Amino acid sequence: MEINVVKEYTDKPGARYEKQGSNSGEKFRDTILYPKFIEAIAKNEILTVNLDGGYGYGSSFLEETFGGLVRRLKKEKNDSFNRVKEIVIISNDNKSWVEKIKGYIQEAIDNPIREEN
Amino acid sequence: MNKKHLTGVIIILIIISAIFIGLKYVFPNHDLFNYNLMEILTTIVVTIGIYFLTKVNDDIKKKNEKVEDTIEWIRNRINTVFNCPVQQSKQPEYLHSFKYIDNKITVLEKLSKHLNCTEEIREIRNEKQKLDDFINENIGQGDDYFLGVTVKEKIPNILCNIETRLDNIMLKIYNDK
Repeated sequence: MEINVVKEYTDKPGARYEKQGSNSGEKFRDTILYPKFIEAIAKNEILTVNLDGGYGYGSSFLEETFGGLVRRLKKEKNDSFNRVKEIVIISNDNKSWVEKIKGYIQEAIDNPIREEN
Repeated sequence: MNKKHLTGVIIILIIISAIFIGLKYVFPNHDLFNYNLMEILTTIVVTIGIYFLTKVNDDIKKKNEKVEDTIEWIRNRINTVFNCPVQQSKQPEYLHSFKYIDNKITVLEKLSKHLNCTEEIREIRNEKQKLDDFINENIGQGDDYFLGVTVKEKIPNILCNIETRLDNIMLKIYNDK
């Protein structure tokens, strides 16, 4: 199962939260990533997120999307938060995003849920 | 010495030896063949040594030129894009500039290994991350936010920190010469 961010969401990702403007990481996580992740877990499939083709991603967008997915699952007491690590990230436009995302996911798994703004 | 160079040297030695043996048959009493083995070996070792020293210096010089180019590309991009007030309408430009700078930092990191710039590269990455966070976390607040008294110097300060680290890498190139 694959999500192509540019095709399915936007080529100009915005800020972290929906209240900060359009195309936010929060909206992408809640409307696209979360449902697909749940579906992939249910079907026992690997979820791939392809980041290529857009203008780029702010770190706040990426953190809210992937770190935020872990936090949301933790809040819902869904044990699959540990499996967010299994999401395959494709990012040929900027290889450093893959490492960043892995870091955000790990940090969210290791740390207790923080209060969001 | 990599495999390609080693193969090249062996082929050259075989060709020189073949020519030498051929000449020995044609001119068996020529002065050229009055050298002893020790003198011939010394000449070969010195020639190979000079060849490789030249090659290593040439490689480092080329790498340093690429490092300088990459530093200029980063410097130009950060000054062109970020050295003016942040505008919401320019968000796509900020996004692809961050992507561009990220990629150039990776190139710089790989090219500058011989200069021991790990600390400078780490600091450039940190400062770039601060710039990325600051702009992307606040761009939704509108253009006026970035003109506020408490924040308007933040971006110039980050750019200054990045420039300082880029200058340090540049200085290492010239200190090495």
